[in-house]
Amino acid sequence: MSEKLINLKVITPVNVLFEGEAKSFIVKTRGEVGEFAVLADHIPMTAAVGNGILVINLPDGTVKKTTLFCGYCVVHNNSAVIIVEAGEKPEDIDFERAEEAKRRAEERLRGGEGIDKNRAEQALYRSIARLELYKGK
Amino acid sequence: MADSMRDIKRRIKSVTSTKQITHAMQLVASAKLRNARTKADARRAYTNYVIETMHMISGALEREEPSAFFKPNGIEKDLYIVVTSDKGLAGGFNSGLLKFTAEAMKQSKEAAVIVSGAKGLDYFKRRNYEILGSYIGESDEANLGVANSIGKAATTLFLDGKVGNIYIMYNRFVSVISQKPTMIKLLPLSREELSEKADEIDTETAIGEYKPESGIFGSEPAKNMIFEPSANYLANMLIPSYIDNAVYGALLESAAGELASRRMAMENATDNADEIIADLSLAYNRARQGAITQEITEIVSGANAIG
Repeated sequence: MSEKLINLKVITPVNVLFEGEAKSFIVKTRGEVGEFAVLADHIPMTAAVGNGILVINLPDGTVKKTTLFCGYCVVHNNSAVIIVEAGEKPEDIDFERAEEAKRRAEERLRGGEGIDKNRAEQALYRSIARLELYKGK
Repeated sequence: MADSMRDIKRRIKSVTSTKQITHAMQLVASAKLRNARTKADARRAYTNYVIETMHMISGALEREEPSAFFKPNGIEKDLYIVVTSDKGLAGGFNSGLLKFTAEAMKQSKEAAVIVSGAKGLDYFKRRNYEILGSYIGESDEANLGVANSIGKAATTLFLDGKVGNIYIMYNRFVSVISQKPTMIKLLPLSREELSEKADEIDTETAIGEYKPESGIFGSEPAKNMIFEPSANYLANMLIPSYIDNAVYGALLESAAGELASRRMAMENATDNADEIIADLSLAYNRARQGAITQEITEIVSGANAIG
């Protein structure tokens, strides 16, 4: 029995992060929507995507991961497009920079008053996503 | 005679080294231009998806509260985002745009600016304009981070009721030999625009040369689409990112225009240097010939006097 596949495309303003067929994909992000997985024959949906990780299950059984930062995902007729402001493959992650960013964001959040809490939180989530992906590869 | 020969030689040397510099700048501009065009291609594909999604969401929005981005806020001060270059040596690239902007500002009762590029900043500072932000240092690179902070600043000013209309002024990259000052309104958006509008920033899309691929939905319109968490939430997220993206597009067009303009200017300078060198070489050879003839005449007349 041949399995149904999803035609997936992940794009940012500067490049195409992934283009090809997938058995399923999971968007693991912190945000309004949270985690969700999409399999073939999913109903048409447009969903917000926060900061986090995308896991793509390829037809040959391998798994591909990228980070996702802020955007949305459109699923329609077994094709899906994830449109995000930024994202990167594990090999493009700068580990030290991400750690530094996490430390700074935590410091700012602890600082309490007079900070842009939302911005610091976003920065923290971004750095956590990068670190998770970097360690998991 | 010997003096003038030395002078000419010195000038040839100096013009030759100037020519090397202009030629190098021409090559650098060509390489960077290619890079900027590649970036513009990537953005075009991305923007096409963003716009397609906006069209789709605008249909669903009818049932919900209209978003703040659609409502004119009644403020009389307009914001102009002006995209210029940091460096000169690019022909009439900046002066053309700045003249165009000054003309356009006459329609606003009050005007404030956000400037990208040192040339524009100098211009508006000298004329005492209200400058709400300036970004310097990367005009020929079209930095995405810079575009996002300009976009965020402008969106915030609009939502906080500090400015009324927001326009972006930039040089559109029509071709390598032609850039056109262009003005595009970013905010407030109109509903109709949101459901029909195509990307106006990018030249190829604007003149209809770019034919998008089948897009997200192919030939089939989306039916029974569900929105997570809601269409309004998505619109409020999508519109600021659309604004950021429009600014990024303008920065890219402007960078390509600046580089093309500089390449042309430097090509002309190099050609001009070649001409000067040819003229000077001719003058040098004449002077040299004159000196030799004179020496021979002196020797011959000397020999005649003895003989």
